Amino acid sequence: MKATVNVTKEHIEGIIKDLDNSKYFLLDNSNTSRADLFNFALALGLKDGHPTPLSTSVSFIRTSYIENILYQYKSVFFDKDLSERPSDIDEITDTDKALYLVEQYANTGFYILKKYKEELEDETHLMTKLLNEMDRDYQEFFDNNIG
Amino acid sequence: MRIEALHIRNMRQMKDLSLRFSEGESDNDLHIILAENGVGKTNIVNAITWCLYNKEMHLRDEETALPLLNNQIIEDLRKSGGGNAEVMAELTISTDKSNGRITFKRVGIFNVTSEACILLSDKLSISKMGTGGFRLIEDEEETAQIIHKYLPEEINNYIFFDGEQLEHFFSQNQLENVRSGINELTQASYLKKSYEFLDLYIRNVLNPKIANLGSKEIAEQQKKVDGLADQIELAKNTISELDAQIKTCDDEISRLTITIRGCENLREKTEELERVEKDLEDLRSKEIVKTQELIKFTREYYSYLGLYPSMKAYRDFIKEKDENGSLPPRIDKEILSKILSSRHCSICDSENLNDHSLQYVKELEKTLAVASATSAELNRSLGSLNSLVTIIQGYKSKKEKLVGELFEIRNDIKNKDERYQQLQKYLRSVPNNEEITNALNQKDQFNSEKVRLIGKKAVENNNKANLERSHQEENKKLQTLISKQKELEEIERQKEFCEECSKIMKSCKEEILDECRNKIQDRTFEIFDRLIWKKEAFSKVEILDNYTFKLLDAYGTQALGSCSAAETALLALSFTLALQEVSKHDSLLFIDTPIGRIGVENRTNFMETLLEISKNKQVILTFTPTEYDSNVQRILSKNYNSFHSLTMNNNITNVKQ
Repeated sequence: MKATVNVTKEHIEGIIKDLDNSKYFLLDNSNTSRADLFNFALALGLKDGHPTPLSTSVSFIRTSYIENILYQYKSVFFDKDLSERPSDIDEITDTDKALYLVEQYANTGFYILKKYKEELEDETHLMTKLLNEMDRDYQEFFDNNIG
Repeated sequence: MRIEALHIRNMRQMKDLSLRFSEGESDNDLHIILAENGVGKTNIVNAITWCLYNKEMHLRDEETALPLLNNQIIEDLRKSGGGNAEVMAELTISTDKSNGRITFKRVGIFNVTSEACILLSDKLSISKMGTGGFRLIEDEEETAQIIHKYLPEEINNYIFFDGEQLEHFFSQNQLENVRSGINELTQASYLKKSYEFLDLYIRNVLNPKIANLGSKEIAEQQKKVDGLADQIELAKNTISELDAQIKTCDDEISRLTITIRGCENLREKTEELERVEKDLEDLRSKEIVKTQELIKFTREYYSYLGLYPSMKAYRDFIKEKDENGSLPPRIDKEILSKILSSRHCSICDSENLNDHSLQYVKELEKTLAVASATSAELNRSLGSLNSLVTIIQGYKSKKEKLVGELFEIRNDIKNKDERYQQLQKYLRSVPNNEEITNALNQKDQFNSEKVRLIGKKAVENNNKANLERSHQEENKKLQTLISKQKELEEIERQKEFCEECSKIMKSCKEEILDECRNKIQDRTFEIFDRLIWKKEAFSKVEILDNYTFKLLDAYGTQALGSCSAAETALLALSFTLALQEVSKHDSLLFIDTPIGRIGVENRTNFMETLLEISKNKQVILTFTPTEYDSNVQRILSKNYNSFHSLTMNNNITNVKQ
C-alpha cells in the first residue's frame, strides 16, 4: 500500500497554503485535520463529477492516519470504476488504486475550493450555499425514500 | 414707607443725577427707570445701599469693580497733580402719610493720586422732618438706630431685588432667605439676643458669685451643675451643627432634584445601556462561536454527503451479494485449518473432534474456497458503511438544531440592538447627561449622608435629654444647699428671675416664630393665588419648622422646582409682601430688571401682577429698552407716576428730558 495520500504541488503551494494563512472556512491546519480537508476536497470533486489527474504529486497525508476511513475511498473506487465491471471486484482489495482515484477527485475539489475562496469572500455565503446544496441532496437521498 | 427722591453725585457714571418718585395722579404708586445696559440701573440700587449701609450690595464682583468715585473726576484730578473729591448719595424717604420725611446723606471723601484713589472718610447724616420740625442727626449710634428702624440692613434683600435674585429665591442655599427673613422681620432675633445675654449673665456673673460666697460643698455642687450645663450647651451646639448639616443635605438634594427633574431614570438607563452593551458583546461572541460550529458542521457533513452516493452504491452491492449468498459466512479459512490440525474447535470449544465432525469441517473449508480477501474486504466495509449512513441520516436534525440556535442568538442580538438604539437615542436627547448622572450619584450620597446625620442627631438628642435630667437633679441638690445659706438668698433670687425671664423669652420667640410662620405661609399663598395667572394650579404654601418652603400643586405635591421663572419670581414677591405685611414693616419694592429672566409669554402676566401690587405699595422698576417692549408699555403706560429715561453722554448718566 502507498505510504501517503498525495496532492499536487500546485495546491500545496497554492490553495492549501492560502487556507492555512487565511483560515478561510476554518480549513486551516489548526481547525481542520489534513485528512478532513482532503475529504472535503474529495466531496467537492465528487460533486463536480470529474477526476483531474495530478501533475506533480506531493505527499499530503500518511495512509497510516486514514486506515479507519479507507472504506470510504474504496466505495468511491467501487462506484466510479468497479461498478462498471463487477467481475473485477477483487480489485477492491487494491487500496492503492482506490487512493489514486480519490486523489484525482480531491485534486478537482481543491480547484473548486480555490474558486470558492476567490468568489465567495464571505465564508458564511459559502456555508449557506453548501447547506442549501446538502438540503437538496438530503431530500433526494432520504426524504424521497431512496436511502 | 416710600422713597421720595434720590440724588447721586460723582458716583461711578452718575456725576449729578436726581430722581424724584412722587405720588401723582395715577392710582398706582409705580415708577419706571428705563436705561440701556451699562447706563447705571443697578448702580442706582448700589447708591441706595451705599448711602444706607456703606455697602454696594448689588455689585457683580467687588474686586474688579470700578472705583466709587467717578472716573472723569479721577482723571481730571490726576491731570492737575491729584487732590480730594467727594461722592455723595442722598436718599429721601417718607415714613407715613403725615409727611414725615427723613433724608439720609452719605458723603465719602476720596484722595486721588497718580497711582491710587483712596477713601479718606465717609460720613452719614440724617435730616428728620416731622411734626416736631427739622432735626439733623450725625451721631453714629442714633443714625444706626434710625436706619435699623426704617430700612434695616438685614432685610434689604426684601426691599431691593434684581430679577436674578427673584428667580433663585427658593433654590439652592437661598432657603436661608426664608429663615432669616422671618427671624429678622418678626424681630424674633432681638428676643434671642436678649435671652442669650441673660443666660450669659447667669453663667458668668451669678453662678461664680454663688460658688465664691457659699460653702465648699456649694462650690463643688455649683461646679458640677456648671459642668453639666456646659455639656448640655455642647450637645445643643452639636445638634444645631447636625441640623445645619442636615439642612445642607436638604438644600443639595433640592438643588440636585431640580437638575435631574425628568431624568430620574437616566442612571438606570445608563446602567442598562452598559448591560445591553455587554450582552451584545457576549451575544456577538456567541454568534461567532455558533457560526464557526455551523461552518465545521457544514464542512464535515458535506464530506459525508458528497461521498454518500458512492457509499450507497457500494453498500447496496455488498448487501445484494450477501443476500444472494455470494458472500461466504464470516468464518476465516485459517480458523478452519487450525481446527483440522488441532482437532479442537475454537468456535464451540469442543475437544477431540471425531472424524465425522472433522469431515464436516473439511467440506466447509471446500465451500469457502471462493472466500477471498475480496469477501473479507467487503464484509469489513459493510459495518463501517452502515454506521456512516446512520450519521448522515442525522444531518437534518443536527443542522436544524444548530441553525435554530444561531437564529435564536441573532434574534437576541436584534432585540438587544433595538434596545441599545432606543437607549442611545434617549441618552443623546438628554442634555448634559454626564452632569445629570453625577447629580444622581451626588443625590444618593447626600441622601445617605442625611440618614447618617439624622441617626447621629437622635443619639445626640438622647444624650442631651440625659444631661438635662442630670442637670435638673444636681440643680435641685444645689438649691437645697443654697437654701440653707441665708447670705446667698438674694443672688439666688436674681438667678431665678433671670432664668425665668430667659425661659419666657425663649418661649415667646418660638411662639412668635410659629405664629408668624403660619401667618406668612397663609398670606403668601393668598397673595400668590390672587396674582397667579394659572388659576387652581396650586393649592397651598407650606413653610416647615426647618424653613423648608413648599408650594403644593392641586394634588398636594411639592411643585416649587417645576415652576417657571415667572411663577418662582411671583412666589418670591408674594412671600416678600406677606413678610412685610405680617411684620408690619411696610416697605417699598425696588426691582432691578424684573423681567430680564422671564419668558416672553409670562411677561404680560408678571407686569400685571406688579401693577396690582403698586396699588398698595410703592414699586420702582428698572428696564432696558428691549424689555420695555410694546406689550409692557401697553400695561404700564398711564399707570405710572414717574418715568425716568436715562441716557449716557461722554460716559456720564443723565436723565433724558
